[in-house]
Amino acid sequence: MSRRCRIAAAAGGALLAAALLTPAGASAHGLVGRQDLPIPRWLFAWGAAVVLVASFVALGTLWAKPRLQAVRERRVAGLPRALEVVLGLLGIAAFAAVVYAGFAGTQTPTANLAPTAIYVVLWVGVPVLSLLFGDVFRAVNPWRAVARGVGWAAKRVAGRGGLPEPLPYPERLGRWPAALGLLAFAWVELVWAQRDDPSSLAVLALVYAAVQLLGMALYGVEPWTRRGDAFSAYFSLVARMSPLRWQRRGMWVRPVLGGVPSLSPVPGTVALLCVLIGTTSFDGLTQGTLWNDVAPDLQAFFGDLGLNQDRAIEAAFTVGMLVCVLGVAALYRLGVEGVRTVGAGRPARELAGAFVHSLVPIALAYAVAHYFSLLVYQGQAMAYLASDPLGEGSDLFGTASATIDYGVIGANGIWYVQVGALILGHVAGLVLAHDRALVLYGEARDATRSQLWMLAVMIGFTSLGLWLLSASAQA
Amino acid sequence: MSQRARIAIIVIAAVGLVIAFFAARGSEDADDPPVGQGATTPAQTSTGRPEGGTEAPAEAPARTTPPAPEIPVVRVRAGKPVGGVQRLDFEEGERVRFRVRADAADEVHVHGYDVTKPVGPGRATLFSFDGELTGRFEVELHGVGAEIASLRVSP
Repeated sequence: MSRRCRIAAAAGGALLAAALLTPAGASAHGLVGRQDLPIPRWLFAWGAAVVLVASFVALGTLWAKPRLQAVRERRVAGLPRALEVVLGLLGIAAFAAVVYAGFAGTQTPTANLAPTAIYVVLWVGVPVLSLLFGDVFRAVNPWRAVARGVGWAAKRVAGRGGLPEPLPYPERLGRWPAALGLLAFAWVELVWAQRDDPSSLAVLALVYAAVQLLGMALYGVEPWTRRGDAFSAYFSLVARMSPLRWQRRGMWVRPVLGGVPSLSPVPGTVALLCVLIGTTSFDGLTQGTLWNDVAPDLQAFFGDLGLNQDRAIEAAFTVGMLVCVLGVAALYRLGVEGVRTVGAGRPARELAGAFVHSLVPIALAYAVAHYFSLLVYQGQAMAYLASDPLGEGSDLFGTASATIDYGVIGANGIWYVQVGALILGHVAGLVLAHDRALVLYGEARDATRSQLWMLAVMIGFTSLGLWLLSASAQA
Repeated sequence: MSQRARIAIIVIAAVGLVIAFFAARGSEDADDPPVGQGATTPAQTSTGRPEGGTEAPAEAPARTTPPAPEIPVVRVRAGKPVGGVQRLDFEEGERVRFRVRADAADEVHVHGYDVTKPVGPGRATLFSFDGELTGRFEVELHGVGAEIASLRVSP
């Protein structure tokens, strides 16, 4: 309290509000040296117009028969078994390097490998790679590699039949563990005061790996990886949009988006996507004036409850993040209720599951729109971090003196990528929802009518995404 | 609806949107205020010790337009910017100029441009460099680790 009084005495109440807000607002990504300028109003308006026009053109011109429900996959190449082992070992080595750097390296976030590897390479880079090349994380997933290695060794020691079968994965659990895991990760990234602290991140990485190993030990490696592991669940979701699929030791090709309709809407799938879209929205919202108007009151409220400044900020941000996730869920639910009014009223639960896959491209579009510049700029830091992971002057690959070139792409380029990602995600979502509606309703007329509701929801999501990035929200 | 009609609708919509894009972008550019030419001589106003803040301009500024706007000053007291984090707005290609007055010795680091200069009591440190990178950059008081201003260079 004395700290506050001093500030207040020095500069008055207005400064107090700013001072309370500044640390949280400015360091939403402590790694960032350059943040994005808000999208100018004309581009925002134009982007919104494209969304509307594209939506109505799509309604009029999309196909009358489902095309994406059962796509044909073609095997184009085989892969040696050794590759699996090598990639798995690489994944384990990378994980070990990140954790070691987190503990042993300098605790300056930008000079330590851990924060950039986790927030930039893993969280933003891997989804982009997954979109292009399929589920690459599955190959290098360190937890899965360890579990498979242990399973293989245990089988050799115990002999056939010597190991108990894993428990059946509970159907009701569905993707809930992954949804909660992603919410926890988002909390760490966007809310937690120590979000950039390398040693704290290393501890969390170990805790996360331990939980995954436990889950895999109980329910088996594949069932848990598919639904319980937050990162695997997210990345494999994105990988469904990719034209490449890796299975049965081979590389298969399929149409773009072809893997998305086969997403099984087990419990927690809607929650998972709402968490992804909602937390990214919140990250955008914290840059804006709306949040900066509300946050000081929230912080003051929690401060009055006896929390210190850091905890009060965290509490306010936690509330904001949860409200965003629930808001996204409510918007989706609204669309589902609307769809229900068309044709024979189907249960909302069934419809929510039937259309949830159309949110996958929207979730990725949000992520790209918000984090593309982080990837492009801070991603370059991997050049020097790889050579000097501890930040102590080593030069393993001769790239330790590399710097970040902020000139690779300017604000204009970033804006076009952001708007382009949102529009493409929107169109992809429409296409997927339309294709599903044709299956559900059989008749093209009913399908189109039901689609008006989903269309409204998707226009809502895309406009929200554009607005969050625009000068209107950020001023 | 025939396949041809569908393609026609899509093509018309796409052409319309492309035209709208350039129309919207053009009108926005016309609305922009003219870019100020950095036409002041920076060294004169820097009182105190000149070595802390002076920097010769890269080229002789063209004195064609009315005098450039006043150079903004960021004041720092007790490790905090007076009046909150100030916005410093510039256009791409313009010369970025601002001064920092601080009540304690420290270093100020402009992220992205990676310009670092000492600041301290009794002088106004001038920062002056070409705004060639677009974006929003943190101006940080290094010792305290606090943002004192937000530099915005828009295209």
